[in-house]
Amino acid sequence: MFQRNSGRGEESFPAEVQGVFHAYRDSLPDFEGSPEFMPNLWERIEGQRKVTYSFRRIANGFVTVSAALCMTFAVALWTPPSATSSSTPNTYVEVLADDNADEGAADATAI
Amino acid sequence: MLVEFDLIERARSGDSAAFNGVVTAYRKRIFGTIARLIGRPEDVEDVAQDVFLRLYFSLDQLRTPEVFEPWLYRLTVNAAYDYLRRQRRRHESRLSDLSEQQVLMADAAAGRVADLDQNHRKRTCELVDELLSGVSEQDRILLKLKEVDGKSLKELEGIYNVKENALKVRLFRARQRVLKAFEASKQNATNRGSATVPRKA
Repeated sequence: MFQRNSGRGEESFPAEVQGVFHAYRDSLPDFEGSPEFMPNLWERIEGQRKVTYSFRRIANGFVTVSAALCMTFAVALWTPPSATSSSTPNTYVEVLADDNADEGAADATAI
Repeated sequence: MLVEFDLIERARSGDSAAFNGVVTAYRKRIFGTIARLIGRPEDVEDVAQDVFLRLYFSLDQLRTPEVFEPWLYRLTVNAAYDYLRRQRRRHESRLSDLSEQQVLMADAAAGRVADLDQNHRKRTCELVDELLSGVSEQDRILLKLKEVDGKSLKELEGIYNVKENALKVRLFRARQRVLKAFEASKQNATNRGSATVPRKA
């Protein structure tokens, strides 16, 4: 069914089908391209660059705004440690320790 | 290689003149390949611009200038493939909008306008399209690169970045389908009493 091209070890179509493909190749004219090819290409490159640049600017702006928001929330939610730790105990363990200390002191005075 | 490695290196580093040099050197070859792949002369320039646009924005991904040519052909194949897919979608939606009679009338009108040379080209393209109709879009491009553009298996290996044996298997299957379509087309032509291969008037 197939023909084998000598030397290259590559199979190919029978001559009749190859003829169709050759006719197809010959029917297509040679292309030199219009004189506007390069200017049009650079126009498209510039257009694409602009799109990429604006997208990058938007992305950068978004990152900056997000960072600023994070900082604002961090500042707003932050409370200084000195305001809480001095007067009231923070944890369950600390409360228990305080209770034990109070009971110990009460026992000592009773004795 | 049609250009020096140095020119590709300079284009890669953003030198516009060097990029122009690369485009000028490869333009004609890429035009020819695209024309053979898509079979529509009127859209060749547009697809070629797409290829060089992709080239410009992906040059920095090129590892070494030695692999430039297969890589450029890979971009060409991808652009042609995208074009053919777009065309098929457009064609399907256009035909679905028209009745059968309108399609026949449109074809007849187009036939009247075309001159003999164009007619011959059209018939040859139609025959090739018919032969390749049973083959997937990717294999169609592979077959055209091999049979029409005359690329060797070694070159195709570089373009597709796959082993030669895998390509041989794909080509073998595609060729079998084409042969089947060719036999069917010959049978139809015999029944109608016309020649299979269009001859120039």
